[in-house]
Amino acid sequence: MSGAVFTVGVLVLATIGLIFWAVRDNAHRLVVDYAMEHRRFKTTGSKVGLALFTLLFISLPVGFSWIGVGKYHLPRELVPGLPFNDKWLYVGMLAAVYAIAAIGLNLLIGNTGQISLGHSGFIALGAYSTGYFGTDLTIGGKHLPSVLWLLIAAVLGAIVGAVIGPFALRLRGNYLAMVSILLVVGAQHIAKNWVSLTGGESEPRNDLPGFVFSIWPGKSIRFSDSGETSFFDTFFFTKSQGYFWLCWAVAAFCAVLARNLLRSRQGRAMMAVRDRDLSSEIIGVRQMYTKTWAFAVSGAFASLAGALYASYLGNVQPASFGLDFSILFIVMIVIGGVGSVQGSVLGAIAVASLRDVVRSGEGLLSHVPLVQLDPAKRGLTLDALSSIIYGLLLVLFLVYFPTGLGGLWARLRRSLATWPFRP
Amino acid sequence: MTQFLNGLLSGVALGGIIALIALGYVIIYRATHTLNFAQGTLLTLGAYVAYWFSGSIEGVNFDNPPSLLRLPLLVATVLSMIVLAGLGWLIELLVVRRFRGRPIFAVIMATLGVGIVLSAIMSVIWGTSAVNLNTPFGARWVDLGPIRINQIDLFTLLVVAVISLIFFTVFQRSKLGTAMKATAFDQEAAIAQGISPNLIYGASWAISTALAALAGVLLASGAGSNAPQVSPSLGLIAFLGFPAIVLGGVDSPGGAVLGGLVIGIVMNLSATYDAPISKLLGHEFFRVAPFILMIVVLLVRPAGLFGTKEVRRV
Repeated sequence: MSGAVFTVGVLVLATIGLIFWAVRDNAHRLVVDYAMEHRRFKTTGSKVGLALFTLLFISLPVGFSWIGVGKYHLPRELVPGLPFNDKWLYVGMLAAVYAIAAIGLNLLIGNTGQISLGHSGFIALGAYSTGYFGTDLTIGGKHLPSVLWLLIAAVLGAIVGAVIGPFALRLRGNYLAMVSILLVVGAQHIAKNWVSLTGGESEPRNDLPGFVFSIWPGKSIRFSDSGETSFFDTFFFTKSQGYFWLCWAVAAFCAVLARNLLRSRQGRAMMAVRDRDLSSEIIGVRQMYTKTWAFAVSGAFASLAGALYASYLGNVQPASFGLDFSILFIVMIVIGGVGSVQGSVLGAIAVASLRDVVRSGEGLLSHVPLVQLDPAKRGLTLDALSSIIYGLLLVLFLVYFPTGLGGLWARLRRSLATWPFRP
Repeated sequence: MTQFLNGLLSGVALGGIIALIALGYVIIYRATHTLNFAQGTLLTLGAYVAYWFSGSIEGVNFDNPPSLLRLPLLVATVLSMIVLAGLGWLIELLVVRRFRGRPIFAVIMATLGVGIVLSAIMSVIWGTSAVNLNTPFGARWVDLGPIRINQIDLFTLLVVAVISLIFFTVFQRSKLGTAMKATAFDQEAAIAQGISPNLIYGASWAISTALAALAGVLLASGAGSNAPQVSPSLGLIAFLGFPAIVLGGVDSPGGAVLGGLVIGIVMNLSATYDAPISKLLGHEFFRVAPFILMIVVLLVRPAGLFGTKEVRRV
């Protein structure tokens, strides 16, 4: 008993101490010169926070999974009530894939101001390029290494993006949004008709390559469904765990890349084009170069995300890359925060998990009148409920929090930094 | 030749419906400089509301999906247009009005959010299965020599012609039309003349959604070689309104009607000749054809055929 009191006491004291430290540390956010504005990490707190966050993310699939890790098995009871099983790992992986694509789209829409509804076309490109470069293509009887077909997917996305970019020179705003629908419709048309690559609509191919992590020639780890994958016969992990780590690692890499891009000359050029394209042209920002660049980067990110997505699922249908899939990504950046990298990640997590969060509240929702738990029946099913929440979130964020979740977080930090004064 | 003429006539009917949708887009664009991405959902909703008032071919259905009354479809359509007009006004009042002066992107996304919520509510009320609308036309047709044209197609053409005529008369002659034009031209000057912009914006949305409801009922009655059903996928046609308005110019109502007709004809003809086209360009090329046409026109004339050219100033 006294032990529990002692533990709680220490935790409370530590929390209070942490808050005080965070407040003091946050004061370093106040910027006084240009170099300070462009620091990679604004405070010690953000470094520590990032490290802790990384640790949490790495341990998520391990600590809470029912498989555990071989000899170094962590008991599930570590965090009771958080069943982070394969279903939630899938949601987590999906969030990472969405985050990669959303970061790219946010660079295009949020930072360069070019509205594109064609993002799912790029994702389809990445997905099907894994089909060719990962499965169909063999050199000397051997498949390409996984890292290579991921890179090829990204490069292909960049090339297609760069081809499309110049169209944005003549079309802007509403017109560009309408024309970009062609990307989705065209990609779907090609996917339906290029039967040798995609299998068409009737028999979508289901042999897309799983990720193989090669350490050196002859020693490789295959992320597969069949049993557990092992790392030097010591750590055992499932496919979902493996993909969770892989996708978040790629997402983190993309996030750093995007952050650095925004701190560079090119990033400032993009924002200048967004804010007033004619003025930016006059001060010497090359429109052609900047817009093409933005489309290429965004296409590369989306294509990379598509490759990871297809590689996890193993099969994709042409019909799944429709306009509503593109819209999903736009919803992410609106909820997360237009023009903010961390906002895209937050938005991706929110959108990817929404449906399953609503579903997991089934027990609670069954007491609510009107809610229909049987998905086959008419009424307020959980799917309809999550669609309503999804749409309402979109509108409410646009009306009340135009800066999104990322903006809310920044506002909170700012008010902490200037505490006890109003910012 | 017969096949061509049949495809052409059916295409004109489909084009008429697209023209109604495109007209709706243009009216909203002129008033609020927004694209209404909820138009497809509103169109489907219009068809469902008409079903609500008129029941299916089989009669009134209280169970699944529910309908209330058994009015003639014509009356039900008018009622549905009125209901949808009210809804459009409400959307402008509650949502779009808050976005005045915000970037285009925000408004587009807001209309999209409204669309998502509305279609979810629709699935709550009517489910997701298709129902047969209580249409007086059925599968009857008229023979004009070798050409065979569906009655509903003829009727659609008539309705679109009448609606366009009414619209352009109202737009050119009435006080409301003049006020709408004035507001689109220069909002501040219009306010100085005593025109209430809020009234104009609300009215624009109401007219546009009423047109969407009409298009929805026509489509669900089987115009333009469509399946005569009300179903949630009805609204997908609204995306074809975009190539139509791009073709005609986003701020030109006449251009929208013309663009809609062209898109409908192109689409239906490429569907008629899908077999020969598919050898070269793949199956179901007609789904892509309108968008290809759009981009070709845009690259030649960025403001569309009849749109006002954008003037860029520093």
